[in-house]
Amino acid sequence: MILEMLCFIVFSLKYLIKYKHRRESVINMEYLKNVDDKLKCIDENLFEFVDLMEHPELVFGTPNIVGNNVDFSKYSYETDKEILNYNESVKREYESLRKASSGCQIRFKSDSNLILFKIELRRKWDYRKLTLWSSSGFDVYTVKESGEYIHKTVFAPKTGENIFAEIIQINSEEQICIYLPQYNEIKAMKIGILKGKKIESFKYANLLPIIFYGNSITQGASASRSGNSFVNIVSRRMNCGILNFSTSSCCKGLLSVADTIGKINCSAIVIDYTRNAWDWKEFEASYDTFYKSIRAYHKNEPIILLTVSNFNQWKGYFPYDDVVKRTYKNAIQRKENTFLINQRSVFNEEEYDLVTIDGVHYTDLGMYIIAEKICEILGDFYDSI
Amino acid sequence: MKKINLLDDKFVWNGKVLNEQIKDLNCDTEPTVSKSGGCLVRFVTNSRKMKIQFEIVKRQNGNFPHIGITAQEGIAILYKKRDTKKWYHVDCMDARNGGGSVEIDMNKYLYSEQDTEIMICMPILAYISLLEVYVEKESFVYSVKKNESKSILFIGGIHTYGVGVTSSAMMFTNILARKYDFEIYNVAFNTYNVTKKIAQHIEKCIKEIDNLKAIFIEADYIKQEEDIFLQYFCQLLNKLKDLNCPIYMWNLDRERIKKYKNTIKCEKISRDIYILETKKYLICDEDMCMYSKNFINDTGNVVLYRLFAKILDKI
Repeated sequence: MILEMLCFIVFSLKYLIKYKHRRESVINMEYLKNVDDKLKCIDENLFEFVDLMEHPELVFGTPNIVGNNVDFSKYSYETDKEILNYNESVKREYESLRKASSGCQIRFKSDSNLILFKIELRRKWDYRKLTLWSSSGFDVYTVKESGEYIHKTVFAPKTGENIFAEIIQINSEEQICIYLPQYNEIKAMKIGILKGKKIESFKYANLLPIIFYGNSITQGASASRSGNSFVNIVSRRMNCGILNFSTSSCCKGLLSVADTIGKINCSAIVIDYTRNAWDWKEFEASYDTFYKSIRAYHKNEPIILLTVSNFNQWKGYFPYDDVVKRTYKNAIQRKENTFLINQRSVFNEEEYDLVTIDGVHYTDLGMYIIAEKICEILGDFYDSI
Repeated sequence: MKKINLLDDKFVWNGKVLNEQIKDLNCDTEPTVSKSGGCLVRFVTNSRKMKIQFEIVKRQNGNFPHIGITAQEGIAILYKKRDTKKWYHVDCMDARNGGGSVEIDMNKYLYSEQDTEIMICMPILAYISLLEVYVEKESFVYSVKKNESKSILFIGGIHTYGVGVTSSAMMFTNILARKYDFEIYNVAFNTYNVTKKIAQHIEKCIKEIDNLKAIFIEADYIKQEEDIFLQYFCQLLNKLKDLNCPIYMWNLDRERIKKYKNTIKCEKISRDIYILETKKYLICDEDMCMYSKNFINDTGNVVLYRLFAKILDKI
């Protein structure tokens, strides 16, 4: 016991002295061939490991718990089959991203000052229009008792690597929230805490999650790091969980997804289904039906509809906005709790080139402003009831 | 379709010549100033359909989790209707297999026959070796007249270099270049002891640029020893003392501002030197603007653009 304490002190001092000039808490990253490989730079004997996949109480944002195991897949078997009706690029994207951990978080507190992660991701390479800290980033925040989130650090493996170990320093009993990669799948993840210490989950103050359904933007492109997608910003601001059923190119208004969303108890739903529809006809044929399917399950919950994220005047998308607005107007006439965010009206046209990186995918600035709009609507709604 | 080579000087903005000089200077390691980084290509055309093709060479290897692959090795394309001010993104792309191409159909964006100006932002970690546009045979392509009466120099370290952006269109110097009718020069170093490099190269930069209206110097103190920084900082100020334009130092926090103000007094350099507390604006919205205390993101670049714009508005 004393020997272990001495090892810990020497180990900590060694790293703290070597990296004293660094402001971030991340100390080192080691690349591995297998997640069970012994580390060269860190003495693993000081740690005991928790397999994240066997501890669903630490994971938020995934609806699928298979037995006692975490499964990052969000979609049902029916959705898997429905997607087969679409073209090859959609099927490829779905296969690649259906288990991406966009919108998922790990939340814990521990009396261990050092937390060691051993992680295996599916994808080794950068994603177009994203930084690695966004597509494969683990974005670490501390959460104060007041509910305030303070950004601590972000880490991701370098290009060409997908299995790695990373260690972070925390204060004892600090509440930690880690936003998981937006465009990558976690195949394995072990969390190491110093021997004799404990780790436990901490929940959201507000229990029912907000559900998001959308495309590549709602999945998180192009926030600079995973914590800055608008779904995660909303989660922080509202201090509640989220479920993000958004997958790049695959947002088609599928009735199987409406069914999945319908069966989940939630506090609100945000629908960002527009531009992934192949054309206006496909969109018009599916949008209202999709909305009504969800509304049939969730009669009173607020549903927010988003028009197209179109910041380069692409004429072909203007009719899509008409469809969304029509659905919204009809819903209001039926006195449903439905709200509209006209994305193009939220921003000044002179700054369209500053809120997205390509006319479509939001920068952090765009993400923050959209998140604010969503929080404003939901805040006003809950204040009024 | 007919092919136009866009790497002709008349289409290239921002110090292609400067970068050539810097590339040839002696360096301890391979030059880290990219031939392309911070450079733009601009042209006007009436072609409704076009195809832009590019190739890269000498792509810098390394670990850049805070720079989008599109910014590292690809191009970003914007358009505006000629003689208007609003720019819109067309797309941005990476360079799988050493290059790429993109087809643009202006019919998607325009209602009537209209000339458009196209801006292409270059990658920051690679050299562009080929950049061509294919346009309709009967259409024209001509260069955009540069405003040679007003030049602004941005010289500095990682932020000026573009570290932290997802697409090179989001570099603050590129944002300023499309919002203002100036020639914006970007000379930046992503290396250690940046102030030494700046002090060594600033004279050549100034000789090459006509009608310099302001210099913005990023006081990047992160990757350098404090005493080396101060030594070259004084050298730098000395070289600038005869210049007839204001100098703005930025990227400093309060402590360092006090230190450097004292340094300026010691050297008795009487100059229009302004120190901009840019950090306080970034830290105000730290979650939105920054990856960490050291690295800004796309929105951090937007904040810098807005701060510098207030100064450029008065020039």
